[in-house]
Amino acid sequence: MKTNFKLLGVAGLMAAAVAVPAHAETAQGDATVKILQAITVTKTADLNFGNVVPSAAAATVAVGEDGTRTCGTGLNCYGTTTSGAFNVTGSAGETVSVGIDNPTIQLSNGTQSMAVALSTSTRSLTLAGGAGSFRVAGTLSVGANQAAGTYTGQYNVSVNYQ
Amino acid sequence: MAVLEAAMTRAFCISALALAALLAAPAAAQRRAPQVEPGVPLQFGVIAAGGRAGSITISPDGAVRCDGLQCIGGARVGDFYVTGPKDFAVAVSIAPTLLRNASGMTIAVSFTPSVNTLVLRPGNRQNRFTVGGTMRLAAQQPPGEYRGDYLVVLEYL
Repeated sequence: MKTNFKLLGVAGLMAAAVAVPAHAETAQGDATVKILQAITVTKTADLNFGNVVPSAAAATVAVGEDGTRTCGTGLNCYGTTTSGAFNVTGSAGETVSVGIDNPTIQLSNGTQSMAVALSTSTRSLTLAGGAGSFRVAGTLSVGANQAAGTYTGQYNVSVNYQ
Repeated sequence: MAVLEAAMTRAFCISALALAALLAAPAAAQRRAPQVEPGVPLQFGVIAAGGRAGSITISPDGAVRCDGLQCIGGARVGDFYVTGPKDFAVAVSIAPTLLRNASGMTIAVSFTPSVNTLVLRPGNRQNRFTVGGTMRLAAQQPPGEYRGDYLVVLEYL
């Protein structure tokens, strides 16, 4: 009995020596991301050329970003004019690019149309306090003896983080 | 019986010596454990939140794919350096984690190492692997700087 016990003990120890445990080393890494607030663009004023009486010759009416109007030769321009205006909000301190998607659009009264060339002097904005604004000017091409009516159209602007 | 006992005792002594040799052999052949240290951090860059959920994935080779998000730039893989004995084999694993901003808002991130196993070359910091990952943003994810730690585990025998 004593001998058998010794033999079992040796076998047990040898079995334990065969099993080899795994080891591990570790290290810590850092991960980061900066999330910016979604940009919102809100129109605050339409581009408005006011009232125009055409002539027998084609001419243009321009409205600057400050709202002042330049009435072409032969035309009679009166009434209130406004430049287009937009407010922008986003993450404070960030810079955004500003662009007009279609710099030339058509105004239509349903049957007749006139072309408008759009422009803005604002190529980029820094959102101080998370807000900014820009204005849009336009030049309207009035045809000779342009048909009477209310002419309207739409344009899109794009504002993106740089 | 005495002869038998003596024989068994001698056999026991021989077995004990063999066992001692076996236990001593791993200690004598034991090599220095590999060391792993971080390099540059993993950066998902600058992302503009939007009205819908989306994700950004950085591959271990640095390629960036944005789905449903405006990814503005600055994304870069992280990397790690391993130093250890020649031909030492290690397995690499990384568990997901959460990044947090100052307000406690979180973003879940899972990681992709450039290798799952490494057979080491000798020399200090001669074995490098990169870490990419995937981040999922909720719709209207709150803005801010999000940061977090992740643990790289190298397993070896």
